[in-house]
Amino acid sequence: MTLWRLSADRSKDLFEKGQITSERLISSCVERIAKTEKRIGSFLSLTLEQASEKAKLSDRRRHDGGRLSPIDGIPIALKDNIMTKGVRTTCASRMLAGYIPPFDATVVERLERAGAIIIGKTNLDEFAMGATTENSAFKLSRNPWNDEYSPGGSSGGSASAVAAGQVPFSLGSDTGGSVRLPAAFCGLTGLKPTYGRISRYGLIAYASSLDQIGIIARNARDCALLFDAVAGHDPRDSTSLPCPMVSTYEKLKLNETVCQGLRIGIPKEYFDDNLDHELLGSIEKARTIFRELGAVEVPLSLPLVDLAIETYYVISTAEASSNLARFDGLRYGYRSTDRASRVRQIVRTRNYGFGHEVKTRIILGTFVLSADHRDSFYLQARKVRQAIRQEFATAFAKVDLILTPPSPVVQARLGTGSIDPIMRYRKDVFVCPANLAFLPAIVFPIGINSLGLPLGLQLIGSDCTEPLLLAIADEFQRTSGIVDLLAGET
Amino acid sequence: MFRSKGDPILVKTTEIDRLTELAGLSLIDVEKEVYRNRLGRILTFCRRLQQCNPTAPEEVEALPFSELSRQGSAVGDLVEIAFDTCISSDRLKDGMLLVCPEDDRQEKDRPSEERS
Repeated sequence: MTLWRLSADRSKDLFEKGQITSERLISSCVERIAKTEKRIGSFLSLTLEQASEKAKLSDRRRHDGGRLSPIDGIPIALKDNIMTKGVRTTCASRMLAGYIPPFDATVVERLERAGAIIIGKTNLDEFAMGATTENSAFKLSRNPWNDEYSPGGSSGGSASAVAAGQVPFSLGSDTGGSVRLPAAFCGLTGLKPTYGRISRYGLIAYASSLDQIGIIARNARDCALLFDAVAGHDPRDSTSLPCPMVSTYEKLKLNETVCQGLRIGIPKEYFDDNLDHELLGSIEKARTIFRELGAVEVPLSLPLVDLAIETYYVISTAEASSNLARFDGLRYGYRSTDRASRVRQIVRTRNYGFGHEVKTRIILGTFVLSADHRDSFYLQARKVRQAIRQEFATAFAKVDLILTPPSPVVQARLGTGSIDPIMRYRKDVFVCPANLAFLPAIVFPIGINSLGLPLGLQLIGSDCTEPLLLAIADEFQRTSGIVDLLAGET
Repeated sequence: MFRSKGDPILVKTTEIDRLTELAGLSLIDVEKEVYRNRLGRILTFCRRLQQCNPTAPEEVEALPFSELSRQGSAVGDLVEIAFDTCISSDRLKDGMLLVCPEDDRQEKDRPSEERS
């Protein structure tokens, strides 16, 4: 049995039957990493020795009947903007190249407590700013389905690691689609929870009112396993929601029918003439499956989605310019050796430490917050954001969820990004509205195009409906058989 | 989609100088031109925000926060801080690049362009 091919759900079942050990599973993943990492470039750092030791402890616990949780002994990768005590956390930036955090993020604490085994930190766009992972200061990550394509971003390393079979699941962060786009580009299931559902304590901030830690896995059940382990209220994150937690995974295991009578909203603004025709064809087939499962389609209009990109970029850059002010060389990471004056040292630190995209966003954020322009850009964006939120609330009075493509762009070929920032930002147009409206959303694969690259679908739910979104994705995956895709295996 | 009305917004080099100083950065002339162009394109695009007239109130009252508010959480304050922050250039000059709420800024903290 080739263990790296196993989903987390399947590994868990085999652990329970005593048919595999965590040590063997970790070894298999390490072999897979050795074979694929040079080509794919998922990881910025690996913690294989610690992982091996933890796997032994996990096996001992299982042998003694003291298993910690359903994910005890299962390997996981973390995006390198999530704090890990004693393990380098860089945000893929020269600014934090040597930074070793003195504490764990809440999600890391919860994973450790559940017995999950962290085997490394994955590549990303610098400070999570980008949609192709090409903005990393350290390396290029490639889509395991085709080396010439990007795995998406900014959680590109987290997605490529799962798609290449290096780990069964991973954590990323989603500020404007950074979990869902890579999941779509790599044929995976990606969950962006409701804002506040997973603690952001220890997630290096990009745009605080939009950031949310998300999950990337091969199927909805693996997402549920991980969601159950890391979600829930955290008093150390004051934006954390006190929603009651249920075992989403156990509910999925019941194989219940959830699509019967479900009202699915189809917003016309997401299906304009520019949408890729192969993606459109696959979405039509997926809609047919949902209808056959008993769902009812409801036409919708969400006209303000047309302004989502502008709203997102004004708000996110405003918050980024503020959040990234802390990187001055005095407290964290890189510090320029130019000591002519303190100001000069700070400026040179920031000049060298930040890449072009980060500088662009800091400058834009500084502009929209400056006195002359604050009302016309920043405050206006806040109004539009609230209007978008209201538009979704109105829609959810009529429907249970909203079905959309994840992006107007099906895939991104490496090195061909437009120099026009607007063309690059365009990839986010269908994913960032959920961040602006604080809503949960899930992306999962629905087919493969003629180039052999995966195609995805997005479902957006109302507040705290992650269990429903996961159950719908699970039912679709059970019915369609489009599940557990591994690059090069179809 | 993605079309705004009117002429492109042109950003002056002096504006780039002011912004880079506020942002704690410095750019050489070639870079200034690149960032000037980028900023102009993005702002032209974002101008559509000014051209719309949303009826919603400015405050973001996300439903997930309502429960927290009832429990006396400081989330509202935090979101406000996240939204209403800026970098004070004088604090930068003092060697302390701090984030401060806009409303707390003293007149002397404001860059001369803003004061004028």
